[in-house]
Amino acid sequence: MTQTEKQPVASPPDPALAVAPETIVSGNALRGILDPRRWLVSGGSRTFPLLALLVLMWVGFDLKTGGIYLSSENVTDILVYTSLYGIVAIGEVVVLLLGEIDLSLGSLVGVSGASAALIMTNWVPHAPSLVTMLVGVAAAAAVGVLSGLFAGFWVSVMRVPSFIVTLALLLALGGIGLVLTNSQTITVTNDLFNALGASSISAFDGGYLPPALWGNHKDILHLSTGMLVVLILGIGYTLVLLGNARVRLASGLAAPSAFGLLSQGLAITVIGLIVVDVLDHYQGVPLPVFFLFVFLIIFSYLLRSTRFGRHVYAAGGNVEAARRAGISIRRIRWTAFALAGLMAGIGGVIYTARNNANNGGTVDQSFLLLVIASAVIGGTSLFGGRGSVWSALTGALVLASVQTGMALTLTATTDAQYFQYIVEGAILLGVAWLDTYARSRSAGSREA
Amino acid sequence: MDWKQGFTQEVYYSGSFLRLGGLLGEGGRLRQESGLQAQRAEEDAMAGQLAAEDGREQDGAVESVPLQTSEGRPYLACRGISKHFGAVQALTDVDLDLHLGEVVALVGDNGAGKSTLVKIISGTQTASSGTISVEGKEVSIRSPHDASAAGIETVYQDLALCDNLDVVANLFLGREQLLAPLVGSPLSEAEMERRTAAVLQSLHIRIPSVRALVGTLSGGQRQSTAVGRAVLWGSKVVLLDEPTAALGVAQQREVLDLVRRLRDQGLGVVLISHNLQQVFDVADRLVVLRLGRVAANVKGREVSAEEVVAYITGANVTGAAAHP
Ligand SMILES: Nc1ncnc2c1ncn2[C@@H]1O[C@H](COP(=O)(O)OP(=O)(O)O)[C@@H](O)[C@H]1O
Ligand SMILES: [Mg+2]
Repeated sequence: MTQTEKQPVASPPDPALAVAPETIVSGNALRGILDPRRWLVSGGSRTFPLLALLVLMWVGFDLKTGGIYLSSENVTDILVYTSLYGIVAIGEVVVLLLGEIDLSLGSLVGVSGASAALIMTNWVPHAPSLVTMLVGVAAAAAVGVLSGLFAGFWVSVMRVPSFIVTLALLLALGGIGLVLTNSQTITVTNDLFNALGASSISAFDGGYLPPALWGNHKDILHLSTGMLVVLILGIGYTLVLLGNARVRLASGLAAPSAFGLLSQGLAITVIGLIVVDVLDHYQGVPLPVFFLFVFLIIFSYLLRSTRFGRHVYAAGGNVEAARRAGISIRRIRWTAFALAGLMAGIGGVIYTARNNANNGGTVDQSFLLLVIASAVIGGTSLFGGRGSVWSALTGALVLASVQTGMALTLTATTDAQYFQYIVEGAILLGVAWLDTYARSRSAGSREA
Repeated sequence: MDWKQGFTQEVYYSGSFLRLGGLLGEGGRLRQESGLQAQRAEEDAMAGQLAAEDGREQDGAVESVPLQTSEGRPYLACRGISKHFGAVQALTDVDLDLHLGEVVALVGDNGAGKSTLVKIISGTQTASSGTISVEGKEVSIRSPHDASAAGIETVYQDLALCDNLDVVANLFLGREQLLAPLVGSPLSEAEMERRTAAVLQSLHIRIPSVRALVGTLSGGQRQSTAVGRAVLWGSKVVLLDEPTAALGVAQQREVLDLVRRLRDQGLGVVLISHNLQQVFDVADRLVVLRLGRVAANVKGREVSAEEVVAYITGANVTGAAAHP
């Protein structure tokens, strides 16, 4: 159906609605997250229901477990699981934004992690620990990128639907993982590497941003490494907001008040500090959680503030329009799959490091589905053009919260796992329905 | 020469050439390609200057395209355009001139070939034969990109806009401005927003906000946004294929006002419309296509609606054409 067939809502003849630059607010990347007008793009119609759901779940599980659920230790656990799904989900979001899908990321996490484990134990076992670790990370990232480039080639150049290409890759990678490791478990003994996953069984007392920097971390008034990081990021974010506002004013455009921006920056910083304080009462900010936020910030910048990101959204929104605008769809698609592969490689590092081991097939297929569910629950459309990398965070947070909650409240572990899937399935269906409902009611929406 | 061609010639006489009829005399009934075109060019040049003189009520336009008065030579000249799809002859030997600062309406019955002609000019289809010249130089338009390079932009019926992006992003799509000339540089959002607001303001385009997602705009606003994009990138010619179809009355008026403003800013506009009232309202010249041929090429103020309908339907106007 063409756009013009739809009788649009009556246009407002009110001259007050004429373009008046002084009434136009905003456009920068980070602020966009909080700008209601951007919510349609970033899947924000579900931001509120999701937050409500999370709070309900946290309170409910906490009451049921008598305070164990929101304990520092369990919050740490939730966030580590969040980062396991979230980091890979960031890559999936990039691909989904194009209206494509990557089904191979789950298997790729296994294969890239196994490659890292193999290379570390067989190629550089006697190198200095740091070198071995770096080689392992590089190997996993390289395997991820190569696989992504391969998938991207078949999708963008050979024009095979991404669903098929990555389904084939999913099968093939599953086999490759088992061939590589001979389906033996390869144990990683490099503590620096294992620290990257905040490994619970690592002998090395690492894997966390150290809580003790100044003062006792059990006190309210203390400064931990995590807090320092939050403060730096918070101040940086606020400065970016203020800088953008200044540029807008200099261009004769309206800008939000400095007070509003300062409060916005402050609010985010305070939330960050509170979370870090909770984590500090256990062991500090787990490294995977730190990495998750680093990648969220990088990808948020990439997708929201650069030409590449703009073209990803354009190609996902209306591929014909993007093509007519001279955008190389082939290059964008290829790059997106390579980035997704890279994130799966990073995911492989964290997965393997967390378990201190990899047998090439340890990553079960539910991992892939949870990664896709994270992105979609968070608000990224399967049809392209709508969503943001932050949906990887919220979606993964919901899934990890369910998972740890079930594990704590149900005694039999098998029960916990079965019910976890049922609940997660229900949540996925629920938020998808909410989104469809919200979209069909929003007057401007042109999607059925 | 078959009867159709004879009829076409006839119409030239009864239309814009009526006053010059004496010059051509009896010989004009024969197809005298070059002479005829020279005459038409001269005539149109006069019209162009007239339009330039009385069409200047818009001032204060920001970043408007400077007015270019036509010096007799049309900006865009199509000659002998023919197009067939297999056995279907969609266009036969069609001539079309367009000057800057002029609105030419293409009218005709369904299937007359209007869209095909516009697609050929915009590069989405190629003619089976015929030439297109821009500023007197023959050009080869094989893709929309070629057309853009020649200053020709088309506002498609299906609109080449991304619903999920805001107006600023759509106007600058594929030509985003960066803060620094580096890979990975942030987009220069403020600058793009300022230029978007300026160009929309110069065209009096009303939208809730330049940061509104295009998907939330009304049909008329979307048309306007697409036109704004063409103007922003310095197009000289804008082609609009039934831009008012499926729009409400108020929005139709918005789009027509926009067409006038494009002319006033010195652009040439080719407008396809089925609504004769609209055509008479905005067009300086009417080109009537019938069965793939030019049935009439007349000044808007020199014909009546009845005559135009007659050209469209092929009814006997001058009494000279015989019909099967
Ligand atoms: N892609 C095509 N394939 C075959 N025939 C076509 C195609 N496009 C147009 N035609 C034919 O060419 C003629 C002119 O069509 P068109 O230019 O769309 O007319 P109009 O826009 O004036 O209604 C019609 O007979 C139509 O069926
Ligand atoms: Mg048509």
